[in-house]
Amino acid sequence: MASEAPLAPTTRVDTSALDKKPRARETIIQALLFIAGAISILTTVGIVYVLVSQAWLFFSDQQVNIVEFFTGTTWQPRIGRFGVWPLLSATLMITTIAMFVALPAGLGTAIYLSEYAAPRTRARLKPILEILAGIPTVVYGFFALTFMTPLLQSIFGPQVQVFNTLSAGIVVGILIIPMVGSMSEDALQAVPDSLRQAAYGIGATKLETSLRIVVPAAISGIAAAVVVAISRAIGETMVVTIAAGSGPNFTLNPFEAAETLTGHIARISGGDLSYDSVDYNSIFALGLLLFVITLILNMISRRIVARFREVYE
Amino acid sequence: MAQNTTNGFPEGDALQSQISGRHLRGTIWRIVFLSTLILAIIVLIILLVTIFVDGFGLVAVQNVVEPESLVLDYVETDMLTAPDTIASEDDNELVAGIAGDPDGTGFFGYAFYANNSDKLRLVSIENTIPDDTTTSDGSYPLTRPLELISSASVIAAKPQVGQFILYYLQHVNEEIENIGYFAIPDAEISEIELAVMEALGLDTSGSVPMIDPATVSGNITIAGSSTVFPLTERIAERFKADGYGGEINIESIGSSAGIRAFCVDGSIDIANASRKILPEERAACRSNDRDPIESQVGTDAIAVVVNPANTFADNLSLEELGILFTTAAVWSDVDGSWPDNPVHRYIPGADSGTLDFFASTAFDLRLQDLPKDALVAILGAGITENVGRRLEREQRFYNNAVVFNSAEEWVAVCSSDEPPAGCTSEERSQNNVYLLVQERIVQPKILQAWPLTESIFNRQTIIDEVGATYPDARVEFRSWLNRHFLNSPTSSQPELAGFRTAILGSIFVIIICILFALPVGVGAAIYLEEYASQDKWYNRIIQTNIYNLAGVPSIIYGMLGLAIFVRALEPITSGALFGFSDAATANGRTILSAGLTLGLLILPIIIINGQEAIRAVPNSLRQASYGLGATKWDTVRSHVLPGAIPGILTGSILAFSRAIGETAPLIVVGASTFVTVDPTGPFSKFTVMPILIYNWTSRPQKEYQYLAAAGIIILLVLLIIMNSLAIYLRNRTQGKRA
Amino acid sequence: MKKLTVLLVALLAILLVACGSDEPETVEVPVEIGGGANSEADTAADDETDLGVTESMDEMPMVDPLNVTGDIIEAGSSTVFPLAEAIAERFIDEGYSGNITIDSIGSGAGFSRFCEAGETDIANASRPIRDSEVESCQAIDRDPIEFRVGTDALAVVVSSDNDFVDDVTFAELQAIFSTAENWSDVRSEWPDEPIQLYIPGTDSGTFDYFVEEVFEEDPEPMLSADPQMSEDDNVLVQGVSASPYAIGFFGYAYYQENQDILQALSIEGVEPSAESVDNNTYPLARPLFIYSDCSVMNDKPQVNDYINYFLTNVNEVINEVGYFPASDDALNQARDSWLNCNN
Repeated sequence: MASEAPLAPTTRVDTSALDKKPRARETIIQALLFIAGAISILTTVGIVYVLVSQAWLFFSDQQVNIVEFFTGTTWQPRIGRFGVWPLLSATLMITTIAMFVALPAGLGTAIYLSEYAAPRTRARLKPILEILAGIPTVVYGFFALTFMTPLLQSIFGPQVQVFNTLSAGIVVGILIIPMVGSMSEDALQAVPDSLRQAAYGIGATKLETSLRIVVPAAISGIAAAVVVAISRAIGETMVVTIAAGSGPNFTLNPFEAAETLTGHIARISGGDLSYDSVDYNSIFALGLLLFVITLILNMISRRIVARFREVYE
Repeated sequence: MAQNTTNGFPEGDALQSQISGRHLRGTIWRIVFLSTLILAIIVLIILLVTIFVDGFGLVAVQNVVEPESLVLDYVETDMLTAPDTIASEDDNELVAGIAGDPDGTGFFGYAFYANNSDKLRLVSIENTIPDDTTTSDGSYPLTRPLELISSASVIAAKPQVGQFILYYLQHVNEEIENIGYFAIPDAEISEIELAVMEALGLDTSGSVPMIDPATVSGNITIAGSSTVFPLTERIAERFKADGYGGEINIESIGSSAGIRAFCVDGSIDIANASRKILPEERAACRSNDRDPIESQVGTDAIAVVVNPANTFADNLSLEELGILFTTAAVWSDVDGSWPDNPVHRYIPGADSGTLDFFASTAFDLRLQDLPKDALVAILGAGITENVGRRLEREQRFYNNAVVFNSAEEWVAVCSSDEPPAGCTSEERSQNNVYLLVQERIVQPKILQAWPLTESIFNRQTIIDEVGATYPDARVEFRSWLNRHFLNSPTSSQPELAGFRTAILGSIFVIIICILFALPVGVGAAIYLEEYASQDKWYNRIIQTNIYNLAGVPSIIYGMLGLAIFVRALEPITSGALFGFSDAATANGRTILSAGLTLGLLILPIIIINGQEAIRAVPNSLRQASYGLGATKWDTVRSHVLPGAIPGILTGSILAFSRAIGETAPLIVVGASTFVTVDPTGPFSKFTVMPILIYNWTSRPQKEYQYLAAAGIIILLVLLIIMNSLAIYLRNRTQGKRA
Repeated sequence: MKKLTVLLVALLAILLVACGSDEPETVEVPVEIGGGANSEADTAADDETDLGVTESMDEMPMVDPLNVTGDIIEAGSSTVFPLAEAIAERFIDEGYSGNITIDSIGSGAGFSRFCEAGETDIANASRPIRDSEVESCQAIDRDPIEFRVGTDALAVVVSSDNDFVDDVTFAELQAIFSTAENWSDVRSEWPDEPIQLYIPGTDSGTFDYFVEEVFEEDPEPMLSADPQMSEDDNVLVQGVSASPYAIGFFGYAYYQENQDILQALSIEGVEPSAESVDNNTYPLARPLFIYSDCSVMNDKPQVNDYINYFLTNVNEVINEVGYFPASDDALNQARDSWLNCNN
């Protein structure tokens, strides 16, 4: 606050006006802004409340056995079977396939852009990756159904069903490449140049510097990117709804149709079952599972990033 | 490691090979990394190309009603209903009528004139009268070819067919005048003979041998035009008389039926036709292994005649001909110098092929040239009364007359509190009515569609296939992305489906999303960066919470939106509380719910992005402001925010462009399947672009796939514009900062 | 000048009077469109030739869509959806200016929105309403009224690439849709390939009907076979048409719309067709309904008018959509129900 020391022995600045109105106004504004921030808390509270309360109704229904939920391999609510594994296995299959596509492509792209590309090239190529990131997922779904599946059918023959997890998985992987690439590239860029110079100084080639010095230095950022990518793949809905299948199917065959957690939620809530039935509440239980898994993954990635920050500051 | 080491390091050759080995590995890996990047770019290109290619291509279109037949109907009705007109299928009756009536006029096949030239006077058309020359070179307008149609495959199987055709050509000029038609010059006949021989793969070096019917055996089946019938019959009689031992079967069923029997059914050997074969028919023939060979054997002309007492009418232009047989009441209507006698018409009847031919040749009219009154009549005959009344109320057909509404109704509805637009609108133009007729009467229907690549590379195959499967269809190029697509609501018919409702729905939803997320998001960002002290536990929780929310799958937001906005807050989101809808069936699945749900979805992104933008404002600015005695809010408002706004704007545009593409949460919140009315406000039911695309993608008919591609193109263009704007802003502000 | 003006005014007056004195006729245009040979009559009376005259039909008041405003909310069976969509499009085309939304979510979901949430005015259904659903309706003061609008021949379909099956018995149908893994398990001459099943979701009336007819109301065997399920019959068409080893079932309209890529099987030797539905020989023929409630119809006159319009015009569109007309008796009953609400 302004000091009240007078400028000259005979003059006094009257600062009483500074005390009242602005402060009140300041407090009001601060309160409003706090509420804005708190709305985000309300969102989380809302999500947790909705998911948990409906899931509670689900688990407390006598048809449902929580052990069966986590160990059963058939999900058919109409006949009282509530084993989550068919949906979970499809989610995991698609995530795995997506990682096989996204990780090499994303990391390779990031290493090239960060370590090899001239700044002008990088400036021109990065926006292209951003375009890939901006394409809506429904377009990827369309692409999976109308291009990728026929392509797979022409390679592998008629054993590839029209809805299948391989096609959806590959396309989800493509969808994630920009995310992996961009986050990894940021991590690689954040490694101080002094490390690289030191490596060149002792005669290392660019490859050796990149792979043995820079990447390990950036490994926590890259690991965080990988974890976020996994979380994104698990949560992806539209591509799998359009291209993967519409019935729970516990299988490891990527050529068959199978429904993921997200696809099932989308299909059932699109139909909007009778309120308070077991089927309706079940989608909230699945939603809760999805929320918890992605939450844990995201927290892990943030832990890794926080650790990474410490090392260089 | 190398062998010769002194201090453990390789030297000399070993050193060199090690270094080159490492460089080689480096190059290889560099190529590997580069190729992953290139792969990503190639995938992007393939994705965009697949979509683009589906948005344009050839389609097979078939009209439910052909415009030519509508024009023909109009013209013929005009002719048949003209005053003082007598129609008859019996040309002899017409001859008698004109011969006995000094004001009489009419037309029929030349043969009837030729046989009665003493009782009738021929009128020249465009200063030409029909004879061998003018009919073969086309200077007499009312001529039509007389043809035989067969194919090499038929003749190979039945040589007697080829021999009959050659015999026909060799003797037709001896008989044709007797029948009453016009001969083709002998030189041309020889050429046609040679062409037939060539098509049969026979030796044409010498002269064509005369066919001796006695050496011909095997039966022949012929069918088709009734005009060609008498000629073919005469030649067949001669053939038999000259020694042919087999059976020739000739039927008179019409040119079109004859060609169809030849090409599609394969039930006859030769088709008689009084016109040229059409391209669609040719394609159908080819696909049944009957590549048609047309041999013209003569020409028919329509003679326009008057009574011999009529000495003034000796020539008519085509235009005057049209007037004479439709609107002229007296002869001076046709040519002012002619007398005022009434016109008495004698014309072939409605079932006559001659009337069809005259109507289609003498009047050069297309559907779009018909007068507005005629088009209104055609429209009226094909739509229900209710639809007509609705169309009229949207825009009236005539300024001073009503067509579909009754007069009392019109007056009543126009003087009510909310008169429909048609009461005061401009009257529909002729072109407007024509377009209505196209849409509702002609009704082009898309039978099949192909993507761009196939349309370019397999064009001929497609045309042949269409000719075989849909003989009445035509193949044309279509861009699925056209003005109609942008301007129409969705429909259960692919030809009519459009994107408008979805575009408007997306715009409304995004506006609500922006109105909610931007103030709240920026406010929260300001709070977290400027006001919140990190040591307070609740501030840390808010911060962590926001990062977690950014990673929650979008479908969870949908479920939240369903439970809170659609169900719990239904009175607000359905508008019932504000009186916008009936409480009984109020439903929270409105634009408001959708906008708020998406707003929650992108709120964390806006906050995080806002925080970064605010953090990037140099602290020195703030300190300077405080130093001058400003309060925190003053500082934020006048120094921090202006500096952060470009960054906030960039990030927000990117966030909103993501929101436009979001599908899953809105499916859960409930975008409707069938909405054809544009949204009018926050409480309307809605559908948005990605959901309509999703809906179309899941329909099995391929036409919907092309519609989805067109919709995707629009969506992507919109997103590219938004992203470019954001990148442009970012580059500009980064320039400033540096 | 004055003379000319008077002449013009007189001419105009004559024109307008001519308009007013009879059905407007200032151009040589036959204006009585309603009497024209081609017009599709919108009066119930003109339906006589199609359906046979009965008293109740004559009494259905004519609806003028131009005078109908206000919104209508309809939801339910995906089977009935194409029919409802076709009627709604006609209704709009003929002048309805309000907002009609139709959601294709399954008969069960449609009843739940109608009876539990009270969110809709009309429920579309491909099966009759259950007692439990009636109770839910009554709990929110709604008394559901049934209107029979048509008949569906449930089509059991395979891809047009399937060249080995065109006729099945009920027993084989049971086996295919439950326990059999490969086609050869059902008939040994069929290929040794796994059967791919595509069926409507459990919320669908079609699902309920099939389970009732083929599995005697026990859904477990079919659901245990891990079928692909969707409330959206278009997705089922996509799935079945893509493989010669796929099989599914849905409303006949979806088969008719996609005849170039699907084949319908005969059941016990009977093909689905207008005749076999009409003379009751096709075993999987089932009724199509719309449900509403008198109080809704009275509170929202547009719903009342729309149902009237539906019942009056349904037989003109039903064949094109791909279904079959309900019997005259059933339609009359529907009309009587409507009239009862309106007295």
